[in-house]
Amino acid sequence: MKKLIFLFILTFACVAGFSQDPQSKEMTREQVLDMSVDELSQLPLEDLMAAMDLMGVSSMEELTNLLINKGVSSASKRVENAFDSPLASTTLTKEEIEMSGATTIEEALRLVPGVIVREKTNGNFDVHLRGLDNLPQKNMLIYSENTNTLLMIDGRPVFNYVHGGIVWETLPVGFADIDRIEVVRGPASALYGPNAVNGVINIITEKTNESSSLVSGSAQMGTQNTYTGDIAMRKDWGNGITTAVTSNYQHRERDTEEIYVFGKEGMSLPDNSGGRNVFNEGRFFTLEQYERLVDANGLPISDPLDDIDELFQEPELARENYGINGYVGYNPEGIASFDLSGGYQNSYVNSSTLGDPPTSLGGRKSNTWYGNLQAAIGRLKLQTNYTGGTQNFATGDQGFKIDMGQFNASAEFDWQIKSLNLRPGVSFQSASYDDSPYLKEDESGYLNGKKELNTLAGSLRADYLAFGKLRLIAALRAEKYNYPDKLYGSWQFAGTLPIGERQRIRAVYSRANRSSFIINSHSNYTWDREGRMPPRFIHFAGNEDYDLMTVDMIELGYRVRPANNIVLEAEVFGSDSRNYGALMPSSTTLHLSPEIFQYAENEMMMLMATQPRTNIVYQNMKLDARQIGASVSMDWVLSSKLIAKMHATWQKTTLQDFSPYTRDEIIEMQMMSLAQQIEPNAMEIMTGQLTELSTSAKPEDLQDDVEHKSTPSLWGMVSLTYKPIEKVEISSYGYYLSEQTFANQYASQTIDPKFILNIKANYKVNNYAKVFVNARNILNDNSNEFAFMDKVGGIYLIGLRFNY
Amino acid sequence: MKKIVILLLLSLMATSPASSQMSQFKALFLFNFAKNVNWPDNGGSPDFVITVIGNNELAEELKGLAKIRKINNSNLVIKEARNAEEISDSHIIYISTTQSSLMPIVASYQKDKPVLIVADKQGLCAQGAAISFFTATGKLKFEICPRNVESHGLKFSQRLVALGNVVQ
Repeated sequence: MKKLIFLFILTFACVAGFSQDPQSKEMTREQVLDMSVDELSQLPLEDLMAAMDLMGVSSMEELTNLLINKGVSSASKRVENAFDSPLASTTLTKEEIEMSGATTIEEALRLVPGVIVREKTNGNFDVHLRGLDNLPQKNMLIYSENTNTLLMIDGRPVFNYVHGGIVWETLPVGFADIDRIEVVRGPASALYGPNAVNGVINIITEKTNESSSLVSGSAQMGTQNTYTGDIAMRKDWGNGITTAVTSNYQHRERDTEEIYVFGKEGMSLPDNSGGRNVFNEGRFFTLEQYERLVDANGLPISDPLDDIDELFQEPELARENYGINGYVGYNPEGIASFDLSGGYQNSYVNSSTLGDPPTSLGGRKSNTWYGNLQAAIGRLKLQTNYTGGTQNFATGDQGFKIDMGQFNASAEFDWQIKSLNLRPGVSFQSASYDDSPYLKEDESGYLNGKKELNTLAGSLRADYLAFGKLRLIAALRAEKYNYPDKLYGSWQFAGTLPIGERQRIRAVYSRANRSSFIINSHSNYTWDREGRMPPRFIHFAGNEDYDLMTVDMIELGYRVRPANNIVLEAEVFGSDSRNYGALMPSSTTLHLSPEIFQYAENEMMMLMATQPRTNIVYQNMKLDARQIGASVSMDWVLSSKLIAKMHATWQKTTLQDFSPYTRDEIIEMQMMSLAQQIEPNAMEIMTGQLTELSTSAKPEDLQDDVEHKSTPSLWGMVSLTYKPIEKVEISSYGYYLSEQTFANQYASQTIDPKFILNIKANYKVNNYAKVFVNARNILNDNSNEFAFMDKVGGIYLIGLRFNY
Repeated sequence: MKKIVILLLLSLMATSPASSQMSQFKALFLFNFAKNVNWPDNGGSPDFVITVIGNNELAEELKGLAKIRKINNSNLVIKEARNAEEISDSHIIYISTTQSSLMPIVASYQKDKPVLIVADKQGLCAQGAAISFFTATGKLKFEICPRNVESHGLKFSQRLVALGNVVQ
């Protein structure tokens, strides 16, 4: 099917490609060049425009406008020069994305300073902004997800409020939709609400106008059975009405069907001759091997209650997703404009699990739809949207499939009084999740019903230009949550000062917080571990009253434009984050009866007979993370044929009050401390006087000044784009990540430094079609970029881009 | 060797000569806009004033034009300003790309005055510009917002609207 679609797009593009160029004008370029200013000034506007068209905008001028004089709208909620932006912000245009050869939105973010992008499986990425990742560590893989960055599409949050984080494959949009991606670094809750802790990624879709191509898109195919495609059809109907329909598709496979199983002391695989191969370290196994793996006690590593074929329905698949979107714009004469969009996406990926299995890989399926309405009535901006659908966060695992609904509504007023801009606003969000439709009578989900998170917020932003040049900004936002039932404040104070035309210095102090997530407030999941290492039951419980993770940050920035074709930027930041929390062991209970002593000869069997039950509850911890860092970046249009860009970020994160124990070590400590009390209390147990032993004791020792190694200390990118002749463009970029050490509840892994080199070469067939070859990771460095995940290696593609 | 590298870098960083041609055309466009808009009784002033913010090259081109051409028999006077407060009574105010952030402030200061505000970045009509230049597919284009022309009490020719990208 995918090949058919690809061929269809290819055929269409070729037909479009061989169409003829538009007709030429009556005046010649030479005639225009010969005209004096006086003569030109006497031309009527139509002829002047025709003359200008003949002269054309120089490539240099166009590139300078594109790369050096970019606009950004997310830092102040209105378009301004990125050079003047009060916050650390970057705009990535569709032209830059196309140039880079990125095949996913996530990968394109490697072009943005401060963004850490690590591939997990072919086309599935971890994306973090500045860091604070894997905190708290030594717990489930969900704590590796980025819960600190708010992702929006046209201002609509696309965020997973179940676990926190961004489920990237559920983005309904593809490259054909995108006009630009804006990234604001640093806390921005005062502007956008919770979860903009380390920043905001705002994907802004293209507006259709009379210059828009009727049909445009691209398609490519390559190794590891990688196929991607996107298409957009746009039409300006006149009278202020525009429409667009877009679609995107990805199919990407892994180069293995094996899965990574976390290491365990004495883990072994029985061989055919009655012996055992022992593996103390984690590694990749086939599904058949995974089912046969046992621990040192001979108990199975995999969950005997699991159906492996359900867990890994297509182990060779990395990512398959498609999305369709529709846009209607109505801008009647007058003061109002309306933009309505809606769409649907369907996705299935094998990536890092959001569950708690002994493997790092898990399946995730989503089919969601959305509707989004934006209206501007004079200076009043209104937005409302709804996202609904079904998501299965761990395919084949009971209780992870849910119906979701997310409603947002906001109103803001943009009020300019001379040099003062005031922007008051209100917003409401309701996110509901329900697992009950997918639970059979005797099954336990992790919510067991419909749960809701509601947030009501009020905000005010003031932006004042003092003395004609000193810009001062204060933004305040108050949020009332239902869980926890608390009021939170976030703020941002910023100032920018121009030094002449070519330099800007700026400073920011801001505070932001995460929102509540469903698993933190409403988990209610009983995990029956029958046949595996004790505890027999682990119950995960939410906590309706806890403190939300909060960060304070100070940042200083400097921008300079030494010439019109180069811009340099530097930022230095320091932050302090606290109120971290996790689903952590609270208590463990052994159920005692005289019968347990029949296993007195085997301590493990006796412990199993007590049917230990551990209660895991979401709770805050004392952990405090202090980060200092700096980013530098450069965009340089050396000539109309050569463009150079680079960025680099250095950071250091130090942890205070850090608990060095893994979740499972605490469970084991609790269980073993209780097990040791069995023998001294044997008489009471035998007589039935003692039927239960319980403890909530936990190791209290904490460490200070611990270097947090999960975030690379250095990462960045260097890119060069060379256009030797009009029809040929070769672009390359290298992305570097320094060493990182990742730790979860089962193991830790150190990832070696990695340099990923990508090259794309385009040939412009005519004004309607380009063909290209695209090599991602051309050096085929197949070391893994994310702990316990795939060694993806190089992917080599051919493709074409068309517009008509 | 070091000197050669430095010279090479300096030459690469130098401004392209193409930008002066662009400034010349933008000056001609401004001149043409002036001819295609009717100001109420020409503001009572004998001069037709264009104020330029943040583009010396364009100001120089306009000054050259002012020596040879008039607008409706009025002398063309070119002024330069660094911020919104410095702007004196003008018929046209041009805000350069690099000074785009001043757009909403200038619009607020000039509210209800008979002035045509021309910006140089796509999307600035939403912040009060009547006309804003942008480049697309190798061509210089402009967006025009009739509402932001009329709200300043100006009338414009339909020819101007027909040649621009109309935004509301």
